[in-house]
Formats: sequence, C-alpha cells, structure tokens
Amino acid sequence: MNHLIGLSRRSVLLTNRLPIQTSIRTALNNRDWRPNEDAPVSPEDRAATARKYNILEEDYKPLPPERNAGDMPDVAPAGKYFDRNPWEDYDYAADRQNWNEPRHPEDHIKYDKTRLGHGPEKQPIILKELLKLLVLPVTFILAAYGLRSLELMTPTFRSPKVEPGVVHYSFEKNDDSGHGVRY
Amino acid sequence: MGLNFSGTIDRARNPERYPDKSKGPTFDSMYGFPDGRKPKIAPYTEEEMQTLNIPLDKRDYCAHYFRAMMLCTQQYWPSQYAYCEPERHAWDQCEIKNKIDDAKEYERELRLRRRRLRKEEVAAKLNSTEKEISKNEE
Repeated sequence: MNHLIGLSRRSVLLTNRLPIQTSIRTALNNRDWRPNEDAPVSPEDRAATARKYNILEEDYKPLPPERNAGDMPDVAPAGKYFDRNPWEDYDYAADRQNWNEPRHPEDHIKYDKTRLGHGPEKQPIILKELLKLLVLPVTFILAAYGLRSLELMTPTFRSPKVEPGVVHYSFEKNDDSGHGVRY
Repeated sequence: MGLNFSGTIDRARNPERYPDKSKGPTFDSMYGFPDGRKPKIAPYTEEEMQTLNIPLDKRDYCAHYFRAMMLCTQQYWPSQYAYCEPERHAWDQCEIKNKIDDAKEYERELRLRRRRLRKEEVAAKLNSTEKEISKNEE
C-alpha cells in the first residue's frame, strides 16, 4: 500500500495514512468500480485488445487479476515529466505526452516534491524585493524634481521675501482701514 | 494633465505671453487701481527676526503668527495633542492669503501682457492699413 502512496514504511511525512489507505482499497476493490472488460485469454481477444491499446501483439501482457485492472496492459513506465526527453517533439509539449500513448499510473506526477526547489539559491531576498518596489516611485519623484524648471502646474509667483527697502502691496483699497491689524 | 502639457508647450513657443516667474511683476503696481493699494506691513524688522530666532524660511509677512505658534509649541512640547491648533490655523490662514495674493499678481501680470500684445497687434494693423491707403493715394 505504501508503494502506491510513494512512501517507505518508516516515513514520517504522512503520519495519518489510514484515510488514503482506505480510499485506495475502496477504489481498487469496490464492486461498483470494477472495470467492464475482463483480461482476454484467447489469442484473437488478445490481438484485438492489443490493437485497441495500440501495442504489438507480442508485447501485450495483462496485469494479474488481484490488481483489478481488467484488460489494461502491464506497461513499463515511460517516465515522469522531468524524466522524459525535453528536446523531443511531443504532441502535447506542456505535458510531454503524445497522442494515444500508453500511460503508467506512476507517471502522472508532473511536479514532484523532491524536484521542487526550496534551496537557498531559490529563496527570495526580501530586502532586494523591497528595493525593487522603490524603483518606480523614486524615478517618478526624481522626474518631478528635475522637471521643476518647466513650471508645469504653478500659476503663481513665488512669495516675496521681506526686504527692508521694498514695499509689497495687497489687493485691498488704501482707505486707511485696519490700523493696528497686521495682515 | 493635458492642459498642463499644452500650456507648457505654448509657454515654450510664446514666452512673451506668459509672466516670468524668476522676475516677478514688471508692470507698475498702482496701474489700474484708482483707489490705490494697501501696502503689506512686515511684522518684524530683520534684526527683530534674528533676535526672536525665527527660521529663515518663515521670515515673511506671517512671522508673527508663526512666533505665536512657536511659543505655544515650546510650552506644550513634547505633548502631541492639538493644544496649539488655533495658532497653527491662524498662521496657515495667513499663508493661504499670501498665496492667493501671489496667484492674483501672476494673473494680473498675465492679463497685462496679453493686453499689451493685443494693443501692439492693433497698432500694427492700423499702421499697415494707413500705409496701404497712402500708397493708393500716391
């Protein structure tokens, strides 16, 4: 059973194996989920099933009955996704599969746990990522500062500084009002 | 944003139609004001500003409001509650008034420039028509 899950007997990766064990047993032994076809015995039947599965007649070998496979052939695994030749011209390149090729139950894994990269060379450096986030705002700020001389959005003069000899005027009438009130 | 870009381009192509921010107002300050204009009163002289330790950026026509806020802040620091909010509000309102006056000065300068250009155009047209008439007369 553990070879179907992909674990050794003493693996601690999956401590509660009972649910998956019972579901595997159910899928394999439930009478409602048995295959329609039985394993062929006569040579004509064997030839017909070999033609159905697109295998040569001498290569066709059904699985033993306790595997509950029907007439499915005992095919050697072609290899998982990463074990297959990447430079071959597949019909389905994203899956590295060809049309109507025999597939083995062990080859359904495309992303294997042992092949995922969790090493230090693949972990993101947080400070570097944060600095990347600062690139766009900093360029915008520097551009706004550098283009100040173009005076894009400022229809005003700069405030006049208080100089001893110079008089600046407001827009109110000079009618001697507001004495004692500094503007 | 589109107005900003088109305005920038027009300003680059016709600089005489727009005021020069580095120079400030060039026309006579009293031109067009029959009742005159009230002069702005500086709250402190240069020596007083230095004595009162007002920051250099704030030595303008609102320095007295800033000094009131400064004293209040010194009294209540390091508390960050809005004890000095009335003083700060008064200073901010004074600054806003001055900024509005700056905008009005800019607008006045702009309109006087356009008016001058229009007058020059009209004079040029009249001169050209007079020249044509004189030519025909001859």
